[in-house]
Amino acid sequence: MSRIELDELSACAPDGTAPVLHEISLAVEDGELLTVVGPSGSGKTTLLRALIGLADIPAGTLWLDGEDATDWAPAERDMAMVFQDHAPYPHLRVRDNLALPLRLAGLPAAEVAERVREVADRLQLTVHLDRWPNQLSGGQRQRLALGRVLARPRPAAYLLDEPLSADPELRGRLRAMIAGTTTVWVTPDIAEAAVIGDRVAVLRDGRLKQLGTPQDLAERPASLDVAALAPLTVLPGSIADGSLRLPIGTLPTDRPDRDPVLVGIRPADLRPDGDGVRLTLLAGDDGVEPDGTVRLRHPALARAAAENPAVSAEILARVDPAGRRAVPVVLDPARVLLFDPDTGAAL
Amino acid sequence: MRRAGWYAGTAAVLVVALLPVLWIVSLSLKSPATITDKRLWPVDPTLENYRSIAGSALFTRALLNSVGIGLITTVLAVALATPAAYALTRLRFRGKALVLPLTLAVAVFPPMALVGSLFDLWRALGLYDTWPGLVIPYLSFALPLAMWTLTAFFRGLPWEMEEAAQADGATPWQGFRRVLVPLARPGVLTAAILVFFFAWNDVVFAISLTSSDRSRTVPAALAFFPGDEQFAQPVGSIAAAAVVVTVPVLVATLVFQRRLVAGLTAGVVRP
Repeated sequence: MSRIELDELSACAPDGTAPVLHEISLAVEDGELLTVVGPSGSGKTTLLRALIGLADIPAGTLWLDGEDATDWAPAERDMAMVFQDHAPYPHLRVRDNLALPLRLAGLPAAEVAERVREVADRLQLTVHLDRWPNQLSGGQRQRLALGRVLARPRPAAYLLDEPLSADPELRGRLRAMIAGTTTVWVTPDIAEAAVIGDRVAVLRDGRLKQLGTPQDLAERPASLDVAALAPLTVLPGSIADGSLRLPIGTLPTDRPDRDPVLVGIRPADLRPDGDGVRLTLLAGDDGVEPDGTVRLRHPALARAAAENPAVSAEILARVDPAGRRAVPVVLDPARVLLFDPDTGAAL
Repeated sequence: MRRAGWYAGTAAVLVVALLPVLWIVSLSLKSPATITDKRLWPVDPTLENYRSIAGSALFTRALLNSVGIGLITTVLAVALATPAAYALTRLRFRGKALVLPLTLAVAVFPPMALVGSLFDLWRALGLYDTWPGLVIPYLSFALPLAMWTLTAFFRGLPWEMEEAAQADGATPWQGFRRVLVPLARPGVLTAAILVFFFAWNDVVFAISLTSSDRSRTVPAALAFFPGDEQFAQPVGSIAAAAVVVTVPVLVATLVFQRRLVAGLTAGVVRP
């Protein structure tokens, strides 16, 4: 177990000499589970390679428990990593695949056998122990890759590069098995990142765009896709002369002129009463959802949604239509989120 | 029906490939009296021909030359071609794209065009009728052969396993020894066998660049076998010698083929 800290760290991809990860500063606390999310090519894998010591680091520092580990060899860092391709050692049987990291660590043969038996049991690999990797299915290879990492005794940290492909049951078990050990878990799925992580780091184009708890990300998202972690209504809009024009109405604003913008509205900010601008929406066909959310409509919205796939066709709100066709709602102009339509960045 | 055709085809191939071999074996078991009887099955099988060549210094010395020259060629070719193939697969350097085509150009050069000038050159240098005199021209063909084989094999290796090993706590040396070497072994073995057979089977250089039993290999020595009496063809002895040099090749192929296939299919998984 250990605390990992990155200070202005840049790192290169395996085939390049120019950094693809730029000046990342963040800390993973002892025992914390940090999820890293971002589109493909955003530098998630390179971040893990830098942590374990496989990437070139042209600038910056990596601290492990307060020691400068930037130039440490992978073996000295004692981290356990699941690679994205889940590739096993092709020349070793499943049993020896699981045992190799333990033998490299110099464990006595009896303990190696015991740990292999135990991890194979937990990951349902026992009947496959004497098979060759090319006889395994994709799911079995995925579990073998996890097993190679989970069999290791108390690594300093787990580094998991998209360890699971959509297997919620295994996800829960994996979380339980790594609980208490510092973990960096890479996933392309922002919803998964928010469910799993104590904190979430959002990468884009090799830069850290946001770092915070899932709640932070929902409250103050740095970009539209982060905001979309939680249910969100997205509307097209434009700002001119202190007013924000939306298909459903016009709000006062103190933001500078901009056309176009994308506007995000959280369901909880469309309320039945309180301070703000009064708007009228139309009830939809669906009832109230368990969390109190309803889907409302507006005549101007259907066309906008057809033109722009980023725009929502329905409006999520926390009001009870109570059988009315026209539903009055109140929106606090200070609560709306504004995004650049091209980059998705928050404004 | 298709099955029957397949069996017939296989049988035809086997007959074409094996009949001459069987004929040689048959000849080697015949006595001088029955050697021209044109029967496949020897009437009165005898091991006399084998006894005769085993007692002949001409043959035993040639066998020693063949084994020695073949092994030296193999060791040198594999030792040089393995790092070369590694560099061609893994490193970036100027002129890399030219290396393999140039070695191919060397390999396709007809040996017959070389032996004349090599004969004069080797005599001037004192390499004529020596082991190095054969090893050097063999290497010029064996190196490209080994480099092509190994480069093709190395390109298919899962090199990312090197990094996986380091992530699993291996030092670079441990990763090399416990992961890369076992993965590369079948390819190196294949290259070694191909090179050894090339040197073992060569006739052109062997008859042109040797003049005595100091360095004459078996294929070249066959022509010097004495008959049982003057003007008699030493057919039986030649057949026995041919069997003796063929059997190791066959056995080696069978043994290594099994290991090669096992080694290759044991695992190479491309995700």
